[in-house]
Amino acid sequence: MSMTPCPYKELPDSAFWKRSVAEPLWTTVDPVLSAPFKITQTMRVATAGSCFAQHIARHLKNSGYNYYVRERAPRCIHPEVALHYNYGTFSARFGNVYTTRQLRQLIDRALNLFIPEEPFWFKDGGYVDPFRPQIQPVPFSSIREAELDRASHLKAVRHMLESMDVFVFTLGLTESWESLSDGSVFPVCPGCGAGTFDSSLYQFKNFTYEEILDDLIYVTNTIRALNPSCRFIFTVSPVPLIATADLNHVLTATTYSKAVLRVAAETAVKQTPMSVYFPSFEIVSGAHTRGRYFEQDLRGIREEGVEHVMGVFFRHFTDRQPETADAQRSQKCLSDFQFTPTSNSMDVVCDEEILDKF
Amino acid sequence: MLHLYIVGDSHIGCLDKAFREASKFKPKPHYSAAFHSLGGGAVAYDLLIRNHQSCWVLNPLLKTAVMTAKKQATRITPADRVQIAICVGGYVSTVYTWDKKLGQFDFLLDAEDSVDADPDALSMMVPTSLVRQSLKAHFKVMVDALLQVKQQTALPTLFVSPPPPYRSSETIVELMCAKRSIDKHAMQQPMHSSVRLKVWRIADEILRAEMERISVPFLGVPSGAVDADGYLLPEMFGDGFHAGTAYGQLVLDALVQHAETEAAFVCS
Repeated sequence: MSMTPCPYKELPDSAFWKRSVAEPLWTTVDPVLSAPFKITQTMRVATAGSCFAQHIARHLKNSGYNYYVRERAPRCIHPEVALHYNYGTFSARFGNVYTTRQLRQLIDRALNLFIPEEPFWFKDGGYVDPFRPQIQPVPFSSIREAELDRASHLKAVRHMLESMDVFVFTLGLTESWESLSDGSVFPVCPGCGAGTFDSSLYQFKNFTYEEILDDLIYVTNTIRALNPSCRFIFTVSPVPLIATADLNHVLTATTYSKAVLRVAAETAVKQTPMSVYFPSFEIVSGAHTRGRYFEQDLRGIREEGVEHVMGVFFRHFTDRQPETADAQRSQKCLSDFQFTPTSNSMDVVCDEEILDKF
Repeated sequence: MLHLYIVGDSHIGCLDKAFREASKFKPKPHYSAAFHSLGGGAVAYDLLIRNHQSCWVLNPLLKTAVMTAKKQATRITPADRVQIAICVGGYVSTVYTWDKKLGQFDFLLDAEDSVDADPDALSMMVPTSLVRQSLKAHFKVMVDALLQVKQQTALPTLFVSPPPPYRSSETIVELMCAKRSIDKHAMQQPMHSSVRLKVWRIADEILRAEMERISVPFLGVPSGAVDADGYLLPEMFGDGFHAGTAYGQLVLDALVQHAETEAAFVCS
């Protein structure tokens, strides 16, 4: 019998909690070991997902990377007005895509593989799209207008899928509401802000690990069929659930949700070439932060937290040198963080926040 | 005597031409007219190059031009009547819809249930409210400037509707190229004519509402100048972008008629 040293003896610091999480300055913790590909400034990086995806989009845009927006307002439209209509907030005007089923159905709708039966919802004298109910400040003036805008939007989504180089998807929720007639899922529960709730038409759905994994694999395979060289980055939003409908405590519901999403993302990455998991969730909510990257409501993510995430992202996925802000962050001590709301967390468009109003 | 001070973008050129034309013959017009044109090119520059910087060029010029008119008005006799007429915004229907490269789009007006152009051939459909809000935001600074001018001059001020667009895109290109000796094949192609008219209609609606809000009378398009759909009649055409002398004459007549009944005496 040959004697070998303890297998842990040869492992790098990153394998040890004390050396890589507890001891380093908490603002410098970097859980990424390597990136399987680099993002250049010319690559088209499309994003989708929960509210947190907008932080990633904003930092990409502000850092000179090619944040890919396929559905833009015509150039003659006043830029402030275009922004109110969410042109440029998302890679196409799909709004928040909280669940993998929502993403799967969005792709299927763009490819004409799925036509939901759900009609447009009447609101304030006009009509809203149930699959992106807060995409613009005023409802569409007619069903025809809503139909035409949706057709144009889905065409843009298809172009985005065909032409993006990198797709960053932020997994946000396992909980959703679906139509009993055809399984269409909505970003917010019907009757909460728009639409009318009817238990004979809609039901609550908490997606399982198997369903989420199946959706993710379907999504990557479908996109690859259209766009073979597309690379995928999956990340899990660190933002807790605003509310749960699963008759659990919202804290345990959040833990369940994030755990399932995390495992599904990891498993999907192992089965999908040129895909990677990026640890936004861990960077923001890991024990090293002691919760300091959360706003006072313990949900919103402070700008410092987003900067930490994006600093790690740029360090590993690009050739960009760390920015001054990155360096400054590493110098901050614990007392530097005052619990005053940061403005950027307020600028994010979040459909689910409507639930907090009930 | 009635004195007209006409201030606006390049679309007041047809009124200027009409007045000059009328002045060549006897009897000469029984009123005087002074024109202060701001140049539509500058406005297009504002819109497209400076990314809607709140009429960066237009508004200072608007204020200066009206103040000049006010100064000139003080030199005339107490018995004279004065009317300031503002005509701004004719550029939007052309600039918004001129170059397909800037983003070809279409939208529905409330009464429509379909678009003229093939939706599959379009880059995109946009919500009508987006176009409306964008134009409103674009005109806001101009309307605010006009309100200030109105408060400062205390002279009767009237807003003249910008001329409606041409129906035929081909005619626009031909007239533009003929005037500037440009090869028409090298010209940018305007978007579908129905989009041009819809943008003009929304702009007209906004301008009417804004003028009503700040209590400035609004002089609409003369009824004899447009066809049944609302496009400018061919006999009213000018250089492709602008209306011609015949249109200017119709507007001047309406303007004089309004001024003779409404315009204030300088020292009344």
